[in-house]
Amino acid sequence: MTRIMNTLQLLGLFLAGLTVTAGLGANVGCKQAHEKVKGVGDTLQAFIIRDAGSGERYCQVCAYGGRPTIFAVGDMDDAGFVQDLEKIQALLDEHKEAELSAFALLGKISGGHFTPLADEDGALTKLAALRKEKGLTMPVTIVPNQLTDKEKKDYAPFTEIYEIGKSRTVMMAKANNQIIYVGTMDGSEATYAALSEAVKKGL
Amino acid sequence: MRPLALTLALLVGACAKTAEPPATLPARAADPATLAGWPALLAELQGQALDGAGKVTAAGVPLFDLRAKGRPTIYAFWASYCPPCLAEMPMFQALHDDGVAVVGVSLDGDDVAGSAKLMAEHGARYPNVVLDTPSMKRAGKALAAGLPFTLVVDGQGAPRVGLSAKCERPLLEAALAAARAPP
Repeated sequence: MTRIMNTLQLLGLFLAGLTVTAGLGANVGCKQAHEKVKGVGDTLQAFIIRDAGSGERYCQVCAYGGRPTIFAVGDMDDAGFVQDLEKIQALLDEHKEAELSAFALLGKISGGHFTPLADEDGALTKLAALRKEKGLTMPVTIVPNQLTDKEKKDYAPFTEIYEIGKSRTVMMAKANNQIIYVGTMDGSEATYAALSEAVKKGL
Repeated sequence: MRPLALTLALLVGACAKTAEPPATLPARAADPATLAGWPALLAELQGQALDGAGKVTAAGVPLFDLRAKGRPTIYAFWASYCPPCLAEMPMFQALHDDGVAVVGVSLDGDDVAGSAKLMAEHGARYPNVVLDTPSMKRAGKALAAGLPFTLVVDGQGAPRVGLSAKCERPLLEAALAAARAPP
């Protein structure tokens, strides 16, 4: 009897192990579905943002579906990034008829890594004021520290799908969302000119 | 085009703010004024038509020509980079299995192979049209609220309901009921 019980226990452990393994496999498979954006030729991947203008959470990449898009990422404390946003706003105004769209994402970028801002509400208040002060029409956004269970069903966290190592990283994607330009702005006319050229090619 | 864009933006609230899909349709989603630009767009937007197996059956086909005659058709706009769009595919397939006319509309810009692959991966065997690049750009301008976007037309091809954001089956069934009712 003891032998039978031991065998059943071992069988139970084996089956439990199989269940856990299968569960891990499914999880890994799910994560692999989100390919990391590495640069030109990749597609802008969808993620959830919080918009400083409306306070709403949604997918900005999805909201711009079918439209050429500038995506700018910067550090919350980087004054240079504000200058970039003003330049991007000028591009938006220039190419309004072509439905050029843009959005900005701010976070903490240090040591070659992007991390979401700890004080989300405080950041949104500051960014809403900045947007108004500079007359920006584009969404100025942050990524939430936590996704809701509902959001997790469809979206991966931003940091899992993008590798942003430097503040003032700007991407240009065509209407089919294929990225045709990635650059780091440095305030020079040369970098802005390169972005402007990419925009013209991407419209 | 701008009035159309603005009116479509209104539809977002009708769908996206619905925590639990209602059994009745939000009023604005079926407001004829909000759908004013779509008859022309359905005639103008075109691309390569794919059958349920992902095989190209025709090129340069306007969306309007892909509808079912005499009964409602669902046009489900989607793109590879839109996770909720992909997540909706099994629901659209289930509706298709139940006899509802469903046409997927891909905004991936002429990427027929990529669209067919994704449809297959998500179990979508209903017809699909991959918009050509000019049509994709026109659709992009029209979809002020972006993707996902679902348009339901009646048996004569008249747009009756427009829904932005990810929707569940009860809402789609309410939209189909609205499309079956007299205008």
